[in-house]
Amino acid sequence: MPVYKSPILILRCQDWSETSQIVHVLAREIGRLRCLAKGSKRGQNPFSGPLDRWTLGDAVFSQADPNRLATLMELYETERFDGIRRRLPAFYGASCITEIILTIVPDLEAQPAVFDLVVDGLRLLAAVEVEACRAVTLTLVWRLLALLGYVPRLDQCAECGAAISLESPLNFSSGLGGPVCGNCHPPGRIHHLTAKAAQAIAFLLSAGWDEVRRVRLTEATADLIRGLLSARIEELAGRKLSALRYV
Amino acid sequence: MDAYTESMERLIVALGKLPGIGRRSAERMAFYLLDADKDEVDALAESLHDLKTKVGRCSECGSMAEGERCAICASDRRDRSRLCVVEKPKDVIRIEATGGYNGLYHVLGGLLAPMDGVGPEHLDLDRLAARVAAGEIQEVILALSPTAEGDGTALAVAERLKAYKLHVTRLARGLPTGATLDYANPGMLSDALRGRQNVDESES
Repeated sequence: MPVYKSPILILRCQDWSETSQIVHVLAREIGRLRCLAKGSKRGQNPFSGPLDRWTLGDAVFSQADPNRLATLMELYETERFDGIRRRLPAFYGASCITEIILTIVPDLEAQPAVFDLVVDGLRLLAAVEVEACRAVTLTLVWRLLALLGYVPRLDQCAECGAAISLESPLNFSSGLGGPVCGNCHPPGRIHHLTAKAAQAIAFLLSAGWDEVRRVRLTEATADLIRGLLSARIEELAGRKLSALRYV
Repeated sequence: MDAYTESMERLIVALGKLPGIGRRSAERMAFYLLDADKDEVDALAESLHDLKTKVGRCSECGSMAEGERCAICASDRRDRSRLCVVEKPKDVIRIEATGGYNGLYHVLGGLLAPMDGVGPEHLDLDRLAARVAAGEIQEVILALSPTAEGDGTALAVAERLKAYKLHVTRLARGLPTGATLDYANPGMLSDALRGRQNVDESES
């Protein structure tokens, strides 16, 4: 049976029995997968205690068949992002990111860049001031979508490629995941964005994290961005996100 | 299955719906009940019936009750200045079993799970706030699992109660009794270090 080693991030834990858990993980070298952690709830186990969401560690696991559960054999915890468990906005932000990974990141496709982005993002969420959690979370969601190829360029029409200015209000197609010019009418919902909201999205996609953590989004801009993300992810996943409304 | 009578098959299917019970275990139970005394089976049937007709939720704390209030809320021997907040009625049983707590309880009815659509509005926080606002409670003890969802719930409860002057505490966390340091993860150890206590206080 093939044995793999990889840094993993635990996304979700479910009780499997009195003593074991099923854990959904994002493995840097393998992608998203589900593992059976036998005996993880026993006092003495090879995982150093019961497994919990938002634990980062070096794991060893085996998987005989990609269509079946892998078996988590060992986990050495390296980080727990304690700050996420101590501030409610950070908790909501991390929940939102996790739900998106569980919803749109494909199974068993190694995406080291996605893994690194998510880990860096959780680290930031655990450390930033409460007031910055919303901007950091929304930035992470946009960048995650962009990394997965679901956000086209913002300065050109997602349908015909014509140049688009962010200096004036624009139409955003949730089906195409980008702005559309006045001549294009793609199927699906069209959202009208103010120039300020469009510039905010462009900023969140390109700014350094130090700049992002200083951003304080107004309720109206945050609402617009949340609505846009919600519609885009609904198009991709076929269902609404639950956690986004708490961000 | 033709080999069983209709009643037997119905019982097997019903028992097979219980958690952790498969078809074979359900068959074994059904045969046991078939051979058992009629009085024993009647008592089982009656207790199952009573469970659904008599047991409800306490109007005060949300735990199990037969009648308007549970025995704990109705008791005049409990310390009414302390309120222990738990996730589910089973947690009340666990804490009562310690014999070390004599206050009241409040059952939230779940944990905060934004990914599953469970927000603070789905927890019994309104009634908790109303109980606290009544003024008798001085300390709220958050007895929630030390998991991500338990911690998130504790934050939501604390947020909801921050307008009131009261002492909000949570259960100590860290090393479980009987564990060895070899098997403790860094999180457990850092919690235990943060919550360390003086040796002469450890018995209090």
